[in-house]
Amino acid sequence: MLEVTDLQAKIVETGQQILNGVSITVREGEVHAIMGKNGSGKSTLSKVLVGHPDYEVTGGTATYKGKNLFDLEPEERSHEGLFLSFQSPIEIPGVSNVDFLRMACNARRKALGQTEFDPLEFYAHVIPKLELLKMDPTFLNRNVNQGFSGGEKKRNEILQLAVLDADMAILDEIDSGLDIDALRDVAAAVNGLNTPERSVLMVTHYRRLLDYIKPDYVHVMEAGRITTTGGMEIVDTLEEGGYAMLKTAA
Amino acid sequence: MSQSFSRSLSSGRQCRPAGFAAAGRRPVVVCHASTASPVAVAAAEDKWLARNVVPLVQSAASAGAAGLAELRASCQPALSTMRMPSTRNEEYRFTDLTPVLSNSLALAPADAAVDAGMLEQLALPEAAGSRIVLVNGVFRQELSDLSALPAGCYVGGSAGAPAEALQQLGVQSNARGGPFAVLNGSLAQDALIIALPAGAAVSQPLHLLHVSTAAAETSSSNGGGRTLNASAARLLISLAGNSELEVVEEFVSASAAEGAHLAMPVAEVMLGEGSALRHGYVNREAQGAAHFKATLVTQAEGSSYELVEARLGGSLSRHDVGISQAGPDTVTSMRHFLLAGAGQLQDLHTKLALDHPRGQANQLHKCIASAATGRGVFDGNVKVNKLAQKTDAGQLSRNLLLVPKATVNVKPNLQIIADDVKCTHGCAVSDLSEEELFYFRARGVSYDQARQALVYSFGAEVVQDLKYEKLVGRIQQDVRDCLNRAVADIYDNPSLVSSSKDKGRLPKDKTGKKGPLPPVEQKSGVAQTEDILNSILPPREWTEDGQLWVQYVSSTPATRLDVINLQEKLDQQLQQRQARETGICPVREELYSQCMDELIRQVTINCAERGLLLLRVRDEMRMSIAAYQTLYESSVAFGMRKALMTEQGKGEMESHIGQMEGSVKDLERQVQEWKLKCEAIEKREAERRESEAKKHKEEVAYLENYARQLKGQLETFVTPAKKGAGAAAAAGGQPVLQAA
Repeated sequence: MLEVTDLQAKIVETGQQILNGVSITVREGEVHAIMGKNGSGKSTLSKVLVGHPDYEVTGGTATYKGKNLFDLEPEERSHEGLFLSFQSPIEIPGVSNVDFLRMACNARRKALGQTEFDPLEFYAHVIPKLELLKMDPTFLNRNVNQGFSGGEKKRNEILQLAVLDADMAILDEIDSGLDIDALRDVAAAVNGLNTPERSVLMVTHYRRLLDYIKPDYVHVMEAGRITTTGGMEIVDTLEEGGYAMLKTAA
Repeated sequence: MSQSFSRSLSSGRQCRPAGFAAAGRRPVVVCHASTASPVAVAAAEDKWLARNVVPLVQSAASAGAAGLAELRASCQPALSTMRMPSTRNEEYRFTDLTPVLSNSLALAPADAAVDAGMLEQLALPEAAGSRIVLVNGVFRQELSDLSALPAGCYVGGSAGAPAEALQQLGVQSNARGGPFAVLNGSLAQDALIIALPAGAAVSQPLHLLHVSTAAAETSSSNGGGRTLNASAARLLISLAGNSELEVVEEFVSASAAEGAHLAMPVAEVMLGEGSALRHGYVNREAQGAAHFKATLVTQAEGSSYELVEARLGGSLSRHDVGISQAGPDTVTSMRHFLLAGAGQLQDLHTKLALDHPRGQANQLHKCIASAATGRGVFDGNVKVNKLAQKTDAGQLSRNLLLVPKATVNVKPNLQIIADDVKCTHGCAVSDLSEEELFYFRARGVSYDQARQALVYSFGAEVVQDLKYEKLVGRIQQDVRDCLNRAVADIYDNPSLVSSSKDKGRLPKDKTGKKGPLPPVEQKSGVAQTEDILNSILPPREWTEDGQLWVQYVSSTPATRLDVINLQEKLDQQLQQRQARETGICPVREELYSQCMDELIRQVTINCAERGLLLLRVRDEMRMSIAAYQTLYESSVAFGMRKALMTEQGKGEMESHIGQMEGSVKDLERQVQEWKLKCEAIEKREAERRESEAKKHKEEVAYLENYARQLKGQLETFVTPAKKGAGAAAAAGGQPVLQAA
C-alpha cells in the first residue's frame, strides 16, 4: 500500500536536514509502530507523507497505492485515503465541527465520484461514529477543537478518521495527553475501525498503546533513519533499558 | 501586499474630542441653557458646514421635538467654530471625508414611507413585542411594537420621557463626542430614550431597526455631486441600579441599491451601579452610504457593558466609541468585526479610560480587507490611569488582507500609568494562517474551499456573539456576498482624478476635482443617466502609487453586436469556469448576474426609466431568492437541531428504559426474596403450631391422666369407707383406728 524508499527531507525555513533516508513498506492490513527518541524524525516522517508545507523532500521516493505520493497535493492524498492524525491539532474558531466534518467528508466523496451528503444525511452518517467513540452529540455543534481538552482533540482526530473512512491512517502520538480510560476508548475505536484492508502507522513513545493496538512490526528511528525493525520484543527491550540498551544489543 | 501598519504602546498624546482637536481649538464646553430658546443659527466658519448644515438646522429645529431645544442650543457654539476634519488631523489621518464633503446634504424626512414587507423580513423573532423602528433617525411609534416591555420601563421619544433621563441628554456627547456628534446634536429631530428603573430586567432584546432612505434627486447646485439624506438618530440609554437590558441596533438602507444617505447616529449610555447592558450594533447599509456613529458610555460601580459590532455595509463608515468609568469593578467587553470590500472604508476608533480600581476590559477587533480598494482603520486606545489599580485589560486586533493592495491602518494602544495591573495587547496583520489551511487540506478540503471557510469563520467568531439566528444569518450572507462579489467587466478605463506625491496618504482637497464631476458641456439628460448608472453600479475607486483612480461605468450605448458578443462571452465564460448547467452553481449565478447588470446598463442608457424598473425587478428577485435561501438554511438548521434533540432524547429515553428495566428486575428479585421469606416463616410457624398442638395434646393427655388418677384415688377413698362400714361391722376395732 505504502512504500517509502530512502526518503530524505529538510525544514524549508531553516534548511535543517531531518530525514536521512527512511525506508519503510506498509502492506494492506498491516499495523506498524514507529518508536524513537525525541527529535529522531518520527513526526517529520508522518508530516512529510501527508505533504506538510513546512518540509521539503530532498530525495527518495514514496509510492502509495501505486502512485507517486509526492506528485499529489495534500487534499488529493486525503482523497486517496491517506489520513494523518495530528499530534496537536489546531483550533479553528468559528467553524463548527459538523460543518468541518461534512466539508471533509463531501470533498472525499466528490473525489471518489460518490454523491455528496446533505446535512441530514451526513448526520445519519456521523452519529454511529460518535457512538463508537463514546462522544456526546453536542460535540458536533462546537467549533473545531476550540476549547477542547487534550483528550477531546485526539478523539476528534479519530472521529475524522472514522468519518473520512481512510485506508491508511498515520497516527502521530495519539496517546499523548490521554488519561487511561480515554486511551482505552481511543484505542478501541481504532481497533473497531480496522479492517483487513486498512493499514495503520503509529508513532508512539509508550508501550501502553501498543498493548491495545497490536503492531505487526515495530520500527525504531534514530537521527532520521530506521535503525531497527522487529516485533513486540523490541518494545520489551526498550521498556527495560531505554534506547541505549537497544544500541548495545545491536 | 501593501499594508501600512503602525503601533504604539503609549503615545502619551492628550486625547481630545476629535472635532475640536481637528479645528485646532480648545474644547468648547457648553452649559445647558436654563430655558429653551429659539435657535439663532450663526454662520459657520467651515464652508461646507455653512453651505450644507446650517440651513438644515433651522428646519430640523422647526420640525423637531421641543425637548431637544436645549441640546440644539448647546451645539451651536461648536457648530459655528469647528471645521470638518481632513486627513491632516490625527483622528482622521486615514479616513478621508472627501467622499462626503463633496456632496450636498438634505434633511432626511422623518415621515418617509417604508416598505412594510422589508420591515417584516428584518424582524427578529426573539424580539417580538420589543421592536423599535426608526426611519431616518426618528422613532416611529406606528411601525414599532413595544407590547412585551415590562411596566416601569420607558421607551419612546423625548416628549414624556422621565426628566432625570432627559437631563443626561447631550452631557456625554458634548464633552467627548466628535464633530459628527455636534452635527447630530444640531440636526436631531427627536431622541429615543430608553430608561429602566432600578432592578428592572428586560428578558428579551430590544431590536432597534434604523432605516435610512436615499435622497430623491441629485442637486444641480453642487457641481453635480450627489445629495445625501442626512439623518441624526439620537439614542439615550439610562439604566438605573442593577437593571439589565440588551439592545440590538441594526442599520439598513430602505433600498438595497440606493445608499445616498449620511447617517450620524449618537448613542449615549449611562449605566447605574451593578447594571448590565449588552449592545449589539450592525451596519448593513447599501453601497454608497456614509455612516458616522458615536457611542459614549459611562459605567458606574460594578456595571457591565458588552458591545458586539459587525459592520459590512456602506461605503464610508466610522464608529467612535468612548467609554469612561465612574466607579470600580466594572466589566467592559468590546468585540468588533469589520469587513471592507470594494470601495469600502471601515473605521473604528475606541477610547476606554479606566480611572477606578479592579476594572476588567477586553477588546477583540477583527477586520477583513477583501478588495484592493477596501481599507480598514482601527485606533483602539485603552488608558489605565493612576487610580485604576488591579485592572485586567486585554486588547487584540487581528486583520486579514485577502488581496494585494488591500490596506489596514491599525493602532492598538495601551497607556498604563497604574503599576499593579495586568494588561495584554496584540496585533496581527496577515493573510490566512498556513497551519489552518493545511489542516483543512490534510482532510481533503481544497485550498479555495478551505480559504473560503476560514474567511467566513474569521468573522464568525465575533458575529456569533450576536446570537440571534436571523440576524447572524443576514450578516453571514452579506459576508458571503461581499467575498463572492466579482467585479464585472463593465467598467471604463480608469481615469486619474487626482495625484499626490505624499506617499501613502490619500490626496488632499487642494486638487479640487473630486467626486463624480461630469464635464460641463454634457447635457443634463446624459448626466441623469450617468447618475442612475452610478447608483446602480457605483464607481470604483482605488489608490495606486499615491494617485487616486476612479473608474466609472461606461455610458456608451450598446449595439446589437455588443449584445451578441456579450452572449458569446457569457457562454465562453460558462464553459471556461466549468459552470454547472443545472441546480445551484455559484459560478453560473455570478456570471448571469454580471450579465444582468450589463443588460440593465444597456437598457438604462437607452431609457433610464426602463433601466430603473429593471433594476427594481432584479432587486425583487434577488430578495426573494435570498429569502428562500434564509428559509432553507433555517429549516436545515431546524432539522439539525431537531435531529440532535431526538438523538439526545433517544439516549435519555434509552437510559431511562435501562433504569426502569433495572428497577423491574430489582423489584422482581425483592418479590422473590419476600416469597422465600414468607415460605420460611410459614414453614416455621407451621412447625411451631404443630409442636404446640402436640404439646397441648400431651398436656391434655397428662391432665386427663392426672384427673383420672385423682378420680381413682378419690374413688379409692370413697369405696373403703363404704366397705369399712361393712367391714367394721365385720371386723370391729379397725375402722375406729382409721377414722382416728
